[in-house]
Amino acid sequence: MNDQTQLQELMRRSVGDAGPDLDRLVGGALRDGTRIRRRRRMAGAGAGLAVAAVTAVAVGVLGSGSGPRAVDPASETASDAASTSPTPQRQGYYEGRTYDFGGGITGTVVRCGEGPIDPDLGRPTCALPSEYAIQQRNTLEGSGEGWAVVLTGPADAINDFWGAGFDDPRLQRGGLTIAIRADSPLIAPVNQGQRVSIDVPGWTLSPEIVDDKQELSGPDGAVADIVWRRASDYAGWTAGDDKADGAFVSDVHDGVFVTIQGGQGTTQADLDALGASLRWE
Amino acid sequence: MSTDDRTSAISGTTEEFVAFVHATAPQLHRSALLLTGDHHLAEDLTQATYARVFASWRRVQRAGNPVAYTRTILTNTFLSQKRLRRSGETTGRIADIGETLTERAAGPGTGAHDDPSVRMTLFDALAQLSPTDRAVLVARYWEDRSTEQTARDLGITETAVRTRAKRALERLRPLVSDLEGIV
Repeated sequence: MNDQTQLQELMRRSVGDAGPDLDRLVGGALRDGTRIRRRRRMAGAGAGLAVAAVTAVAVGVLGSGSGPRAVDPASETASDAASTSPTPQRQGYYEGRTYDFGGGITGTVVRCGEGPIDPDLGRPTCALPSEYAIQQRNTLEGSGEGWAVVLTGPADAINDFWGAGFDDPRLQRGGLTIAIRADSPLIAPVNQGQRVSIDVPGWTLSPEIVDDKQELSGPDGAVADIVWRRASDYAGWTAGDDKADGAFVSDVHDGVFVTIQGGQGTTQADLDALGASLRWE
Repeated sequence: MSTDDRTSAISGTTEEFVAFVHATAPQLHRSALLLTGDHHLAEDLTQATYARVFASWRRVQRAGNPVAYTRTILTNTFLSQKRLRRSGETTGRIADIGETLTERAAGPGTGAHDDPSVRMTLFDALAQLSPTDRAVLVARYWEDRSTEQTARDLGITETAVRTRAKRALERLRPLVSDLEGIV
């Protein structure tokens, strides 16, 4: 049996028959999806024809069956018409050009500096000043090489746009780098210096917070996580459904709360004890 | 179109979406579980994915392949969340997982297929990979997507997909071998 077959078999065994609570999933998806629609409508109300042009192009991309990511367009035509720059007749990327992506999101074109060589591609990567945080780089060859588009706008709108794979042809060109401002709340960690401690014999709490998580190590190799979460998510964790089953949920403290979730070797009694001992510092 | 007609059309669209979720959610949730390695996070990811699909449901239906579209949204949402959270490439906890698995393979409980602590080990092994490498493996070997489809979804070249898959399998090989003996 080769590695791939082994991995496929292990994946099948590991996920087993795991499945979500369909009623809760549907309810949550309808609620959140409706909220996204409403936000788009509100943001789009004042955007005018430029947004209509973007939507038309986006529908065209989807209609082609290529999914939310399009291949590098061979030419720049209708998609460039939605530029908000004062010289819309100028084609292609140039320093300072701006695009309106709808939803209050604006993209500004900046020229890349020459970064380290990408070992997979044999080409230089895009280097940007420290005020920008690179979030995605298209590794196909194309007209986007040497350019970055910096997105600014409402955090939720950028997050949605991101989740949809930047579904806009102007961001799908080969080689293009996409960045946001380094001071964007989108990339700020949940934890803003708050600290907690636990006091259960045999258990230790790692001081580092990685990916919004802190590791708990207990007797006999038991592990658990303290997960830092935004206060805006608190209602979802205390709604009375089974989302928090098996996890300890703290009170909100200074705009955040934590959950304690068990890993291998952790019992419910361990989680209860860890939760009971949790202290904010 | 009258108000009643419009209401009826909206209701019908929602019913179609609900039916779509019921038909596809179990498989999508398992993909999310392999990507995140955590049941809670997998549920969050699955819900966020369907919310985005519902927000564009009519457009998604017109696209002709809502299942493929939804899978792509799932992958993009996962990767964007990892980037937004400035996650590290590895969790750090499991650097010694090979050793742990070897010890477990030799100890009592070997072959305990239904032991949740054992089932977590593949998730831990996958968590050692970068999010993109994990997404490549899940797309290629769990969802059976082609190299071309995977490259398009992730915005990387087909060569990069093959390179990443090969490299990720090499990293997993000792772990997979040990896991095979356990699970």
